[in-house]
Amino acid sequence: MLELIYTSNRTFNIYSGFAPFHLGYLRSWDAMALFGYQKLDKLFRDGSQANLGVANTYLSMGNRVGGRHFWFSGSDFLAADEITGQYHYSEILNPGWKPPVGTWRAGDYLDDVAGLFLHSKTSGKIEVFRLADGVKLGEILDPGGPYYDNLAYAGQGKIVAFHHGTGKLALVDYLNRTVILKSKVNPCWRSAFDCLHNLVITIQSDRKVRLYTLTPVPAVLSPPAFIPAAPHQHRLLGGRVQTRLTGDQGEPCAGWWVHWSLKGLPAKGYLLKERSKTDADGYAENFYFGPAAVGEMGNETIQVKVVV
Amino acid sequence: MSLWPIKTVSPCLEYHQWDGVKHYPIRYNEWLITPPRVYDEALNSIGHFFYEPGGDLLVAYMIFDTYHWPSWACWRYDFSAETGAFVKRSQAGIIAMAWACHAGMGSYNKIYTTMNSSTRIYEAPWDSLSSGAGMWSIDPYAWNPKTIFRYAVVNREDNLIAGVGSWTLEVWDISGTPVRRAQMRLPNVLGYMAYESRDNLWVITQDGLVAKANYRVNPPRWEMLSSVQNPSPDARNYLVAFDTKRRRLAVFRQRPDAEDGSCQCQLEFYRPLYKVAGLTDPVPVTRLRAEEKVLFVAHLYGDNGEGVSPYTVNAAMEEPVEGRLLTPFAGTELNGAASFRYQAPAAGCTEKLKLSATITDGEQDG
Repeated sequence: MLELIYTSNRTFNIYSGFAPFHLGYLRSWDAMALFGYQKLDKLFRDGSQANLGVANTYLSMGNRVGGRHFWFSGSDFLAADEITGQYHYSEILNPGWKPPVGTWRAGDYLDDVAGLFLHSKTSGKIEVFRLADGVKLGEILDPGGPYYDNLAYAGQGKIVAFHHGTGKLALVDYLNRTVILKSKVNPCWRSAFDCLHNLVITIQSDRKVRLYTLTPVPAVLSPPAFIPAAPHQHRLLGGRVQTRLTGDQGEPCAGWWVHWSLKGLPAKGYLLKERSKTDADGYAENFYFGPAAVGEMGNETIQVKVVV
Repeated sequence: MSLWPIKTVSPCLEYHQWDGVKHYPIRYNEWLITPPRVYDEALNSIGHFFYEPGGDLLVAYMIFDTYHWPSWACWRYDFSAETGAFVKRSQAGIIAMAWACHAGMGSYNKIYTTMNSSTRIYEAPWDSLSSGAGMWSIDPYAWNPKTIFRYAVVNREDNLIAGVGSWTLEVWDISGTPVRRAQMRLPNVLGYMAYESRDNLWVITQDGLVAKANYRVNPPRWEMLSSVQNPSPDARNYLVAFDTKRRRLAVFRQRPDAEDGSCQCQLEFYRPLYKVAGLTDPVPVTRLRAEEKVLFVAHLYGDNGEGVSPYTVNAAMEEPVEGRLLTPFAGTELNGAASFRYQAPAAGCTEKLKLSATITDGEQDG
């Protein structure tokens, strides 16, 4: 589960009882485009909104490289204007390929710099097409993953794929076609990714905006273990001991302080550090030295904890 | 960029009061004199609205419902472009009211109009809109694809026509065989369209959104989106004209009559200057941790969410302060965003960050 850092106090208006069609973060606005049934709005993080007119509900909205959006007319990907949020009929981003039915969906992703189009095909599968001629270049597979609803730009060559019903998401490197991180947020109506501040943005039926950092909340701290396994520790030779901090989806939690202590009273032996920070894979390590007194023997337990 | 309201003339029209005499046996539009209404005429629709630079006038061609024969009347209303005051009204002919579709100023300070009676765009005299021999005209229906405009801006100096038929603003290069340069979707149904210069034009939608487009660059682009001040849900239509002498917009807001039948339409004047509508709450965009720096972002925005810049946003912590505000003020970026850094203390705490901005327009009512 990603860390929720903000819930707006304000509630935004959707002018109807239905969930909006799409939410997209626009880098140039540093705000979201909210494509509703009746209106097209600019939505700020605190829930403030401004109306930009009405959108054509016959078209679908998709995400474009660089934190932009585009409109899909049924055969053409139309560039969107960043002042009005509307489309330009004459700026067609796929002049050489008219995607047939089954190769596009609202919330799909278009990288016209790399010349790629990403389509969420089925559960755990994202197809990658060449924009110039529609040739399928490959697939990004996430075994057991959901049918992603929204593929939002997250940075150079990366997207965040969202499944709204479960809140599951995956950070995907679409140039190398690998899933980098899997986690989740609370189930939501619609989602977007703030590529400027690396934040997951969601809206829910309470019509509040929620922000999550791309860092998981710690859920599991593994029992400390010696690396390599060594049941007998001597006083002069420190044993390397390691623990791993992960979220509820098994994702590593980096940058957290792990506090180390010995359970015995009095403690047998000692630890090199009282606290150490988890690395990018969620690991924190320490060194344990056996008892200092000559001939002293016995068992000792190493305790670890994290303050969340 | 947003719109700064300069002044409003409300109402801008006064109807003729009913003399109390009922005409038998033929009477028209009796609802006009049904109490509590006391006027024997009422504005029905506005055909044309434009700035006439020769006379420095705002000109509106209007159709009225009348109690008297023949139940309708066509008037050309002239308003002072400087003050918005009513100058005079004159009878308008059938050409202006039925044949001509929507007229506006264009190149060489001339008036051009699209037509209901044909597919052409004509140059026309401002006071009658009846095009004559030797006046410039062009037929978009002869272009490829065939095109019919209801609103058009004519730039003969650069051989450009920008027009709207339904939902899109199209820009055509007519220097040779006419070529369509762009089709840009409008934010809503068009209310009216006005020429500003060889580069820019303005559109207003029927719900009061105002957009400026640079139609001369290739491809053309929207330059701003804003709205009239306090768009009223009861407004029937909005029309826009650009006063090229004072470089400002004139908006005619058509509103329904008051209960007593009096006119509630108004003329509004705007400068395309900054007008701030709001400042969002500061929102953290980094995680909140003891001893760490936290970044907050707020936005200063105009009527339609457009970023307002450059302004300074000041930040202050409310007492008691436990952490440290590292950025006491920040300038807004083009999108209106202002960022602030805060150093959290070692222990957990609750703090309040207050933001403020001083807004000055620097403009006086002309």
